[in-house]
Amino acid sequence: MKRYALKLYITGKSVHSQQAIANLERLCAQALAGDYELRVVDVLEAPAEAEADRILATPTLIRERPQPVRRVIGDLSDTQNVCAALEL
Amino acid sequence: MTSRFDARNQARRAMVRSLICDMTDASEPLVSTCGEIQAMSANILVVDDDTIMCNAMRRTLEHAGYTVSVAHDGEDALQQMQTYRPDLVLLDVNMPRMDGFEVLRRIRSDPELAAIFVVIVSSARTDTESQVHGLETGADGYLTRPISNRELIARVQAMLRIEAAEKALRQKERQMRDLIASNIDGMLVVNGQGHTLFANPAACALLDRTSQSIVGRQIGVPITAGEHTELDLLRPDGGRRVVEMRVAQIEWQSEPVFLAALRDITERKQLEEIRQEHAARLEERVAARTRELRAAQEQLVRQERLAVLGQLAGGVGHELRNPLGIIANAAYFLRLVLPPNDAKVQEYLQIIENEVQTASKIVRDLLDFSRSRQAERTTVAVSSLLQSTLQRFPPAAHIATRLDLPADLPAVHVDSGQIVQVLGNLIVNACQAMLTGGDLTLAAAPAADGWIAIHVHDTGPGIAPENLPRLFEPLFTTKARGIGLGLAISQKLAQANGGDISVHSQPGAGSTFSLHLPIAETSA
Repeated sequence: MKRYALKLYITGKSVHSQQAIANLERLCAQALAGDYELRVVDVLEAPAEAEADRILATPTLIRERPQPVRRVIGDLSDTQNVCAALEL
Repeated sequence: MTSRFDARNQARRAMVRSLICDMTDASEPLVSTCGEIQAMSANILVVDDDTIMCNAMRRTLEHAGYTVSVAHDGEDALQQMQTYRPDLVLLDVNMPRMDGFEVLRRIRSDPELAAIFVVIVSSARTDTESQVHGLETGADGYLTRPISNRELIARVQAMLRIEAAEKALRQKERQMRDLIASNIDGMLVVNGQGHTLFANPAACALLDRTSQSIVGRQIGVPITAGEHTELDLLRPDGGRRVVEMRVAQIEWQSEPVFLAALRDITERKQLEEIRQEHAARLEERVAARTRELRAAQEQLVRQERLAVLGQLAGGVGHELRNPLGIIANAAYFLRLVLPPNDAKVQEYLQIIENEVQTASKIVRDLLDFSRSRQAERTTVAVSSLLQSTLQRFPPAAHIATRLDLPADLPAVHVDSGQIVQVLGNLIVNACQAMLTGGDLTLAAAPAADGWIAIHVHDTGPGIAPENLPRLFEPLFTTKARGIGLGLAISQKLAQANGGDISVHSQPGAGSTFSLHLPIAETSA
């Protein structure tokens, strides 16, 4: 099992959602060295899952593992602060 | 509410703790050195069951300029606090019925009184343990007896300064909270773990949720790289709002937190999208129009060029016809007078005759191309067209010819001489594409409404895709010997007869030229 489990909530093809995906992929490549699982969830396609995770805004990045769960909101362009907030 | 006070008291206790110390002797006179200390005007409540002690403190404090009231037990003290809010309470620990700690506990558990500044007073015999207990119960300070008057005043003054500072801080906090609450933008206060601590009414409206359903949720630590970032907010009904988020770090109830300001830009976004769509559509229209204009211009240039070419070709062709005729006659005469058994001579004569024929064909093509002879259209059967074509342009022996002609095909309305020339051209081309042999198929079939299609199919190498669009251009040729007028003339003649020629070809799969001709009205 990978050390980190990440889940990114986005909304459709909106520009900031696409930016978040690109930023996250860059961040993962730089900081996590392949030791992670990432799932991107589109709230338009999976509204029930978003509701279950009590998502209020997108893009939301969730660090599901390791516990405790950490979350950030924003386009993830500030790699340094995102890593700090998620303790990556 | 309780947690808020706890947090504040903790901070306050930290400040006050340094003021605690053990004081021993108080042998100074009651009214001595207080004059040099400037007193602040304040209301102080002294709570002590010992009347003498009580009055002594009262005198000292009043002399220093404070307004003092006294209470002799806990009940009395609590009651007085309800009627007026003292700035400072000096609370004796050892009292019968309700001790000082109990009074303090009640003060702190009453939201109305909880903010009152309380200093516990005990005897010097009190151990450190009980001082700590007092502070943990929520005391803002601690005094031990005996205490000199001068020290008492100094202490009280210090406590009041702290109290004033705290009051100012509380007021500032309230102001900030009011500012945040009344802000027109959505405001979320989020702690370091990403939990929402506060949501103003504008934020609740944006999210279409109650404050209770937002506060406590782990929304996530808000992070922006630049000045702001865009977010989609999800509403319970599935609706969305696009917001611009700005983040600031502030202190909220003595805790560093994030303040996320959310500005609704949904309408702006929608307008932007519409504008972009319009711009894109306009651009598309302009591009399409430009293409049309360019095509029209090219067409015009081509027509002009063709007209010039036609005139030139006609002139040159006409001028070349006579010399060619004379050369042909001369060759004929030479054949008569030169010895027939000289093989070399006969060979060269043949070359002259062949080349004259080729040249005559080119001249004929040039003249055909430059002259537009009116089509004399009559009703004619497709089978007779094909038969006369094959008679005039017989395919070479090494090519297998197949005719696919339905019996009940309707007649067409064309100039048979011109169409035979067109078909002949197509057959000659097909044969030239199959120099090493192959199959030539001539097939006729009804096409779309009112049309007959005659397909000329060869099994040659096919035509390169990049050459396909230029095939019918005058002077375009892929043959080593040819001037590239054959297909241009054929297309021109087909069109003069109300038809046209199209081509399908793939490298390696041969080519099919299809001549579409209009069905004669009488037979339709």
